[in-house]
Amino acid sequence: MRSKHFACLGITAALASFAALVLGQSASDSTARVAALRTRLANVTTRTTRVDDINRIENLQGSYGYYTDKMLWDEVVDLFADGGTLEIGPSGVYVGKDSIRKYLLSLSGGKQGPLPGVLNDHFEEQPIVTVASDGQSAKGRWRLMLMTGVAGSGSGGNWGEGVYENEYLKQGGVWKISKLHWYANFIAPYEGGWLNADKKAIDEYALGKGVMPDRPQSESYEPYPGVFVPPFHYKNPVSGQ
Amino acid sequence: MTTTQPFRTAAILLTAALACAACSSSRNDAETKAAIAELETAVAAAKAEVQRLKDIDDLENLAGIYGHYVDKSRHDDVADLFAPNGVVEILGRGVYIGQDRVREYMRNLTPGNVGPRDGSLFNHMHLQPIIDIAPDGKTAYARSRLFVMFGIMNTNAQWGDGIYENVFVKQDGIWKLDYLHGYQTFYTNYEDGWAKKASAIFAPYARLPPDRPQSVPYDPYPAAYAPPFHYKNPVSGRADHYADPTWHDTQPK
Repeated sequence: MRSKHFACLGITAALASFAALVLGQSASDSTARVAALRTRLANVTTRTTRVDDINRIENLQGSYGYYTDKMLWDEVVDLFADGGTLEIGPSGVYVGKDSIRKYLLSLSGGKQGPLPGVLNDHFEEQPIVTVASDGQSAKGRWRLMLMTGVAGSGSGGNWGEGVYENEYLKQGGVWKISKLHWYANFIAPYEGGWLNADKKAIDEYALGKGVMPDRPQSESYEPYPGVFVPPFHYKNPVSGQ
Repeated sequence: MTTTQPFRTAAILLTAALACAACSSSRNDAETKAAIAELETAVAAAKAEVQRLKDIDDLENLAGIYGHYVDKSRHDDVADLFAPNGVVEILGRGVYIGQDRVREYMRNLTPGNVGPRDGSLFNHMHLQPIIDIAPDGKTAYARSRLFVMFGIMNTNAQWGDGIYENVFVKQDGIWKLDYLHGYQTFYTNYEDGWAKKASAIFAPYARLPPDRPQSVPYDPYPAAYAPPFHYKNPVSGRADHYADPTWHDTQPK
């Protein structure tokens, strides 16, 4: 009797735990699948964010070029992060928005906006943008092609070319320029082109007029026809070297 | 009694155990349903973002394809890139409205001839695109830089430079040109260079008058002009206030 009684209770307990197990297992199985889906989706979102980051950085640098074309310096300065730096060939390093603004305004006699007779085209081309694994900073190599000139100066204008190795920061979800560094390759009069590349033309283009940089030029090198390879921020994407 | 009591006890215990399991299961069900609903929303958002990124690539290709076709005077291919109500406005030529008029405008560039010709260079490089898609995903805006190498062998060679501010529309899942707007910065003879001699803005074609005159009157380089920007400053968010002609009055002289 007692044994039968306990046998009954034993079966009951076994059934109950089986039921709990079956129902509980399916619940924990769903929970695990939901968690796995969340992880997979987070990986997708990380990758779409990365692609969007690259697009935004390309737009940022492209905007720098379009604004610089027209000497819209307020817009250019706004593209920089606080404490951002600017270095154009031999200009030295200008640190922070106030310094950068003074430098840029010095290039156009204190005025901003397009000026009659002045061409200042900055082609921002061939971007290689690399976003850091935490998604909060990035580096970009770009080619600058320059077409500048002053109408009536007697020359047809200037060609110019060089490479940027720039850095960017994401602050409050917005990408900003933290370091703009252009390595001058050549600036040459339209007449004869790069056959007549002239270091003095680089100085004339790049040095601030009546303003001094916060730091000296960070690297010294010989522009064309000298040989210099601006350091690459990235490894060979195929060999990894 | 002595025989039924254990079974009754067992039955009560079993019922209680099942009820308990079911109650925890229904709680889990509700949590799972909520989690799935949240995932569905997140997947839809990710899908929309992927679509937007793909659209940007498609639009870059469309702008580039336009340039490649123009290079080779493939006028019908160019016209086919436009929406039925598409508009072309180039330099000082004026405004041509509708795909048929776009086709006429393009064919008029080389009357009686479609396709490349011996000795003719008509390179249209489309560079530095900045593309923004409206929140509805159906309209897009792009600024790009045009760099032209134009030439007729042994006759004439020119550089050309300008800005496009174009509008695109997505119809039946396909992006099309809705308003192609080219602003001339300069055209110059190869021998001279832009700072020595730049051409005046083009005039409307007498042989194919436009549907209306150019929408923004301006003089090209060496006059000072900034084609309006479709986008706000990407960091400050400030709108393009230079388009306001009074802006220049506020600047130091």
